[in-house]
Amino acid sequence: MRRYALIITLVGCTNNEPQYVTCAPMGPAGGDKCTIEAFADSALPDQSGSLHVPVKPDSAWRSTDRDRRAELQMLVDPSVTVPIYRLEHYDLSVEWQVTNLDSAPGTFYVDLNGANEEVAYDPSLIDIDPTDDEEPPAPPLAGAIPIDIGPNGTVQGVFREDQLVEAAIDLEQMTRGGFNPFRAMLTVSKNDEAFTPLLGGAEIPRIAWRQLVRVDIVFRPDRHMQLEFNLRVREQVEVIHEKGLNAPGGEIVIYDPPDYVYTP
Amino acid sequence: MRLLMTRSLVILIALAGTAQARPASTGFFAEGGLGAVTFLPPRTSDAAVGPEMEIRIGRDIASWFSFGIVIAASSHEATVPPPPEHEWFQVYRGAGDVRLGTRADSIAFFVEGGAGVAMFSSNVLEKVMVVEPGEQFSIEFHAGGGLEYQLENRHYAFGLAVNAFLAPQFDAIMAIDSRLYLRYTYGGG
Repeated sequence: MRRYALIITLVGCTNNEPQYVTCAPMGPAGGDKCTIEAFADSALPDQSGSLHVPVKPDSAWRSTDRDRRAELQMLVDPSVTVPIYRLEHYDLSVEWQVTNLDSAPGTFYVDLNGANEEVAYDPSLIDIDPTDDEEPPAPPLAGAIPIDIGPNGTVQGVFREDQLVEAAIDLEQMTRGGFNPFRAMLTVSKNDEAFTPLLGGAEIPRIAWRQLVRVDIVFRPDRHMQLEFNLRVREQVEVIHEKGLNAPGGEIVIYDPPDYVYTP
Repeated sequence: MRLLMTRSLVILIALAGTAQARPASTGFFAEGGLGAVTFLPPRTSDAAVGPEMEIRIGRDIASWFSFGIVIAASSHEATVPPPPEHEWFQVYRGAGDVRLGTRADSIAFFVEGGAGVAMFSSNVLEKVMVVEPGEQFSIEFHAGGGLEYQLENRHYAFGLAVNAFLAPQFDAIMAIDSRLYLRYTYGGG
């Protein structure tokens, strides 16, 4: 019996095969949107789509995984909260394809934003400097690169796992560290082990950083185009539901936290 | 003269017999093979041909009948409509089977068939509805045949086998598994 348990454990430990998550209109996250058709004059929210990570509630985790949060909480400063869904739990990447529905060449931008279990990041709501009318708009968590596309052509791309780790950390630095969005985006933090909030307080170590639980895509084409995207989730700890967003209600948690409010 | 010819013919018939097949061991055996797995229509466009490894162990009950268990793994690029693109998945199979065969000198011919379990490593084919959400396992049936060349060493043989397998839970996906293998038979019988 012990031998079988060992085999099952070994198989479980090595099983971090990717799971491809796409929209499930009949599931608990029925409002998610994975296909964005937009024009040059489209505006939010027509330009945007969201996809939730199908995370299981911690009550459905293995007890050892659930207990780890309390163990980690003992290791950090009492003022630092160890989140439920952490960077160590899973890796995310976003794969997308853009189709130019126009017979002329064009250019588009694909911006990536997102939310963790506490806060969502929407750069369109952020005013970096209210006194400056010509201030640049707040940056997205990733993307904002012009990409050319031929007439009726298609272009595929991906936001890699390391880019989404960086995005999750940038969101933490802004919301828990008080970093300016530009500073957070323009510094590479994916290999950092901790950061100290600018407004004071205890250092927040990497083990207490939140992972994204929702990915938001903003698609900005200069003519009629369509973007399709999906999530690729690679779990390191069993916190992702195997049925993805098709899981029955109650077996996954859909987080739609309040938007981050920037205070200059 | 006629008598001489008749006697010669009788002696020839008396000495002649059926050709003896090359000696081959029977008993416990192990096979290791390399090959390729190709999905059949209508799923050919959803996954590319992929390399395969297979191991089979079993027991010869007689020179013409054996049973065994087989485990196999193959790796394929998913060619579903993007996204995703350039993503690979693996198919793992484990089954029990029987093999019936006959030998003509150094060449043996066989047919085999069995049933077991197939597993897809990821849900990348969910997009084309080969797998349902959360589905990872299917019953698997396979059948096929092949030929085997017996080396002069009675324990060793090379073989070529072609099997078709069917996984009903994976939208009844079918594939052809073709492989070259080396067989070692432990027994001396």
